[in-house]
Amino acid sequence: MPIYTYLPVPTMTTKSALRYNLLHLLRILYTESKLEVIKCLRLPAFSSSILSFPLIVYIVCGVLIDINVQEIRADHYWLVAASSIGMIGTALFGFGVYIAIERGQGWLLLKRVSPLPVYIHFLAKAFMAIVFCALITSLLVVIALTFGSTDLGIKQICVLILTQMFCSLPFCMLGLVIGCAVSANSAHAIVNLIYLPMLFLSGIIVPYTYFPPWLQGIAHYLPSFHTVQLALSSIDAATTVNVFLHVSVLIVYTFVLLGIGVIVYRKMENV
Amino acid sequence: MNLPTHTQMNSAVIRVSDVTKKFSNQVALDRVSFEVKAAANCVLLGPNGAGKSTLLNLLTGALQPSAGRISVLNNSAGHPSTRRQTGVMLQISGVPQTLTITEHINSFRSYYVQPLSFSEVIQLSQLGGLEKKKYSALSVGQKQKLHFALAICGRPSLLFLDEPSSSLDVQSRHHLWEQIDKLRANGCTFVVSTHDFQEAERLADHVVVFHEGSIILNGTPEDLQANFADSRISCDTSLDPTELAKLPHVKRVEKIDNVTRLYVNEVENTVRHILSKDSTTSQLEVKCATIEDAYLHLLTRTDHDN
Repeated sequence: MPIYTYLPVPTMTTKSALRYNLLHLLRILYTESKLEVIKCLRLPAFSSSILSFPLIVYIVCGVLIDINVQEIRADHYWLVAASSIGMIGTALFGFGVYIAIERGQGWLLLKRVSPLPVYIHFLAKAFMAIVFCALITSLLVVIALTFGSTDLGIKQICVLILTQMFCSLPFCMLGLVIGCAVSANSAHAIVNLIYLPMLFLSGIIVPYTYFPPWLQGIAHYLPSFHTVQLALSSIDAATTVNVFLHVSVLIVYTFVLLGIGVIVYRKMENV
Repeated sequence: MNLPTHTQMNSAVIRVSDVTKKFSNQVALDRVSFEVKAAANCVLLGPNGAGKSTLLNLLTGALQPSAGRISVLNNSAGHPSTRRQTGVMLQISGVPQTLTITEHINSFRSYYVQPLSFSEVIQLSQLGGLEKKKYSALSVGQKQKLHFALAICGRPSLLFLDEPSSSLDVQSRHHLWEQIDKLRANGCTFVVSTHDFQEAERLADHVVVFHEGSIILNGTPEDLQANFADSRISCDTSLDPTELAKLPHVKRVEKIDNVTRLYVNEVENTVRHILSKDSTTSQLEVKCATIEDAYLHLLTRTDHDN
């Protein structure tokens, strides 16, 4: 073993010397994001369920049963539906539930008292959710091209993946609100309470055109509804879609939920 | 070696002035004031619920005081530049299980402007050979060592340690204490919360004892021992116990068979006096007061006064 030499005291202690520059912040963000993805990939309980559930939905409904949804091609509809299920699930479970768990077990506290700017911790989690979303959608496209009758072009595939990545933002913010507001023990149950009704009401599991008018009215207020409509339009599977409206609604949702998340986080921080 | 300004000036690195912390209607800390000097090792003692953890959370900036002022390294507690000069070891259970020791340490090293090298962190925290192990595969003691590694990896000048050796075996405890000594010798200041009196006795040069949210003693371990616990001198002497009881520093004398026992708060001069008056004194035995004795006596007295 080498002889131990240690100089614990910083040679520069002025405030300017200790200040982060942008490059340092980006380096931290890169490291944190990479580790968030690795952490979740190595968690079989998380990665297998998050990846397999949408794949099963697509294989069963889009390939094996081939359920047609009005004028939309079954494989296209279920491709969008399954990727939306995976994307929303990753954002709510991978982001929201994990924040609640980290809070409960003290890891978030250790991060808070470290020099890490806490927004980078949350950004890294959002990055992880976006990466998983891209991964799920890509896997679904591969299955659709291999086993289904899909004839999507490269451009449509790329637009679909990017659309789903963008659409995951409001759900990450919803995860932030839930993760900061509820305890680790109840986070899973609360997310399920929101996740499953939202999938149903937004027309992902049952097409919303089958709903009675009053239920369709509720769907219009849900971010998941706008996500599905936007994703359908990205592969030219929707008949009439107002892209500007859906994008605007999702952006508003993202910022409103971010605002609520910040308030809830501050409240939690200043107990 | 370039030392930080606060070390050069030998000034207080932590100033806690009239700090109160309330949770709803419950007062966790009540008008607490004390200072910690640079390169000191301040040990926080007190029973469960006395306010030690609340104070640590306030000092690290995890909580905000309800009233009063806290200054850490000439900044407010939790200020970004303060955090970049401090390391924190908490009692936590939820470190991500699937990441390796290397990944955890490198992640924390990236938060600091001038971190220690990876090999220095591994060497200081005795984690050599375990670098590729995932957190879930570590023993409780190895996990504790990793928590220490995460605290020191930023080359901090101030360290907050919560029960640092609670899960370590004897050898690892002593190694940890040696590392703390080395860091202190280089100007690092420590604030340690512990229930372990052996650890307190080994590390402390400043003791703050908490009881029900208030400080009941703020001083050196010697202050605590001298004022709240008696050392015991046993010997076989022909000196009259009544005369011995009149000596300064002697609190009580008892004679059982041939053995005379003196309870004193100052050993050296008393022994000298006995030997000078009776050179035939034999079977001399001294049992010095421990911090634990003093602490228990102090708490009992405080409870009695209340």
